[in-house]
Amino acid sequence: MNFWVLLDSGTNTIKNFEKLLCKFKSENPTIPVNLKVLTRQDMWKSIYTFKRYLKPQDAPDVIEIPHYWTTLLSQSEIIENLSSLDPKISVKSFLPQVQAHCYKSGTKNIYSLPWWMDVLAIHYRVDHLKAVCKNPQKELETWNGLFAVCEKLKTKFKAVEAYYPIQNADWRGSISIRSIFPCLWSKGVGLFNENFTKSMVGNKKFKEIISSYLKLATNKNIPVLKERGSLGNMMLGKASMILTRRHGLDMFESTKQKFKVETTKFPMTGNKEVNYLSGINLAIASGGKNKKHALIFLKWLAKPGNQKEYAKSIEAFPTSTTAFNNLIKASPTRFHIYKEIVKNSKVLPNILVCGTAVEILNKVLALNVRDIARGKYKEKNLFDMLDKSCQEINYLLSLYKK
Amino acid sequence: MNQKDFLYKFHKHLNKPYSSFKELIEDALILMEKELGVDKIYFFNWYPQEEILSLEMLCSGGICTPLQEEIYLNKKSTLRKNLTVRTPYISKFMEYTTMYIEVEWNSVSEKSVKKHGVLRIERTDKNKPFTKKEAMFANEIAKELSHNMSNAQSDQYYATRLKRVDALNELSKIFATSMRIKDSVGYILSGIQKYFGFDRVRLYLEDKKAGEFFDGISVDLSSKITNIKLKNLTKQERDFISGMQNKFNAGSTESYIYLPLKVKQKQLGFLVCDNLLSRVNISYEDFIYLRQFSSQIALSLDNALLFDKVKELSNFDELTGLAVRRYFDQRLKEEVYRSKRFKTPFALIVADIDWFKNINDKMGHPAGDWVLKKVSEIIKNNLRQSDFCARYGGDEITMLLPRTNQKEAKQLAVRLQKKISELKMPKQFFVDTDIEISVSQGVSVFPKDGKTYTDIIKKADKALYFAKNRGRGGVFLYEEMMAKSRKKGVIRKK
Repeated sequence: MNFWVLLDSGTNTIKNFEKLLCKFKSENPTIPVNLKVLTRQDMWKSIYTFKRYLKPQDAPDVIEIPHYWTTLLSQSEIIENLSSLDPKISVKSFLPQVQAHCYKSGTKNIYSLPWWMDVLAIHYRVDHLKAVCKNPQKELETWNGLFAVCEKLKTKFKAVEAYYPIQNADWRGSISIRSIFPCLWSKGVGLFNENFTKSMVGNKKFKEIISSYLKLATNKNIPVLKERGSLGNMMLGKASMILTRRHGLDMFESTKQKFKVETTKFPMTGNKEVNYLSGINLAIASGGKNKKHALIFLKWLAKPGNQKEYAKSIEAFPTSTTAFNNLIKASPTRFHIYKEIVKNSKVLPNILVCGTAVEILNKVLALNVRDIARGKYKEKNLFDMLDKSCQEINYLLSLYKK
Repeated sequence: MNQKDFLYKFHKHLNKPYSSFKELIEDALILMEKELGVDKIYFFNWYPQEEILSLEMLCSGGICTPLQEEIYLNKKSTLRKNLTVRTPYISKFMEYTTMYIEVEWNSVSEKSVKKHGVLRIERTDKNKPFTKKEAMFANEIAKELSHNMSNAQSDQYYATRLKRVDALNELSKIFATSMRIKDSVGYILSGIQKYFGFDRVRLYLEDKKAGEFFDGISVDLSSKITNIKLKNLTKQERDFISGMQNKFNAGSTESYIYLPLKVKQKQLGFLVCDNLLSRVNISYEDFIYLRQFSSQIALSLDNALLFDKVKELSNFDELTGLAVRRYFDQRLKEEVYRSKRFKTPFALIVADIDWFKNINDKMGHPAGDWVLKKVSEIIKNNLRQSDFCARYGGDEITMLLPRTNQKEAKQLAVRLQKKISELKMPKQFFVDTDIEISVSQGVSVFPKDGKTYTDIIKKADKALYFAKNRGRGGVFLYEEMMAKSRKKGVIRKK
């Protein structure tokens, strides 16, 4: 059986999955599992074509997908209807925030199960922040506050080679649209209007917020497209904060002797606190040969204990309500803020064009980040690209509805 | 093993067909990691125009993982300068010993330098920095890798071309065997989608009278074939298509291809293929292949359209536009089978224009034709989409009503009777006086009145005959006819 996964934990992805698969093998020795790791980009391209191009033995049986791809893949008949494979399947034991993304939009049929999730927050070095702020949590509450803190930190640590106030959590060293959603939602804008009939990407507020986020890079608060090692690294003292969806529990607990790390909510750009929750689901590919085994494997992975174990290894959160609450309870105090962060979180809509809209915007951001790295960034170019993207997304909405 | 032997073994190991560059790089990195005694090797693609190094893969502990990382290298950066002069570059920024080497090969035969990317090699033990000897050896291995990648590039180019040619051959067979327009278009579009991997493929046909495109067929991601009614399209898509109409030259942009389909300068329609959802770039090569193929697609379409036209002419009466008797009989037989299978009723109405011979004799055949046409029009316009009607005889029209019971059939017949009776003969046909136009109708239902198609027709005919004898302009169900006849003692009960 073939299991296609995303790059959940970078270079450790294969290692982390292998532990889990060993456990599965010991409980289900007659179901061998072959792992294949793909970047999100490769997975996005592959899902459209694997049914046509791959031999059945090479096609995936179970795939890991961002949860907002569920409607796209179910409408395109790329993933199986789990409710028809097992009428008793249910999503009630998972956190309410992630349940809606298991269904094909507009139906009661379950097409994917929640696997793990992560949610944006700021982790900061207490020693660094206390050196420049009286009350870091308070000062980091707002977007302007974040910028002000960055300026203070740059002054304080100007002698440190390759120092940046904020470590870039993006593996590409670039900026992703998914990092910017809390800024947009806090101001009451999003990718689409309420009825999903129009895109808000061309909206003045939307464009201004994207521009404001990119100022983190143009003001040299966050490194972009730099050689590794010069990225600004919290552990090495070359950065003071990181805006990330991972909780870093193991990593930061190990630094307790040298420095303490605290976690706080993502700064608000507006009056509303809205955090971005990103979910990853599991689905059965419709081109696969072993649907029976695939279902057994999928349900095994979704068990609270297995979810918790895997999520812990990648510094993310399980989506089972029990597992999530137990994790919070059993973790240090720093962690408890996550209960509130998750409570006030929002997810991307589970509509057919959402995945494409994210791809379009990520391309726009990648081009602009490259311009920033080259010193050729112009806000007008960004706005023009966003206007064009808005038109494209609107056209897609008219073609594909929900 | 000495370095020379390793280089030979390395080249030999990689000198085989690979289905993708990724596989080749994986194989190479695993061997290199072991031979050089390092902890990590990364392979970056180098995009000189964008000045970006883009990470493809990492090999560590014998396991390769695809990764994403981008590094901008401006012209002033030391790394860029070193790479330009083809010298291994030892980075000072990393926590541990790191070396960058360009993967390139000087092809003597082609008199060119092939650049394929950049390797980053890391050793976490700070006490073991890379020596000059190690750096030179790594450089030699990188050259060998580049040599193999050049060979693989050629192999893959030909393999892709072969695949496309195979695909075009398969499609040609499909085009050659499909005759009916509906089948043809569906197969053509599915074939194109399958072999070229587009999100959507659409074909719009041209309305010769209106000179604009109308209706079409689409194949989407789920490989479903659907009809497109222009009137159901959104304004945006209509604008998109109108924009396409004006571009009579074939063209492509990154995410869509549009191709006019012409036979001898006559435009039949328009093919649009897009990857608007997946955003996967359509290669110029694919566009060229499809463009070369478009004339064959157009020819196949033309044949299919012609075939359908001939079939249509043979199945339909030219005067009334109704089906001919032969076609109706075929449909009736199919309906009997279907209704038996799914246990659903259907009704048959046989209508006969009253005093039709009189009309022809007194007013002339043009008047008779006018009446036939008008009556047929009224019938056609009042039937459901699932109903079917035909000109069964000179002035006899039959109507097949699937999933219809007696009551519903009679209601329809009565409605038709009323509408037909409102018809007024045009003055040009008057001789002495005006003539009233009416039809007599007989109705039978399956399975109540008969279980075979001949039975059903016979019973409807009998009911019609009964209606005729009762003074024209009437509607009778077979069951009603039987009941009335029994009353009169015409038919003795067994």
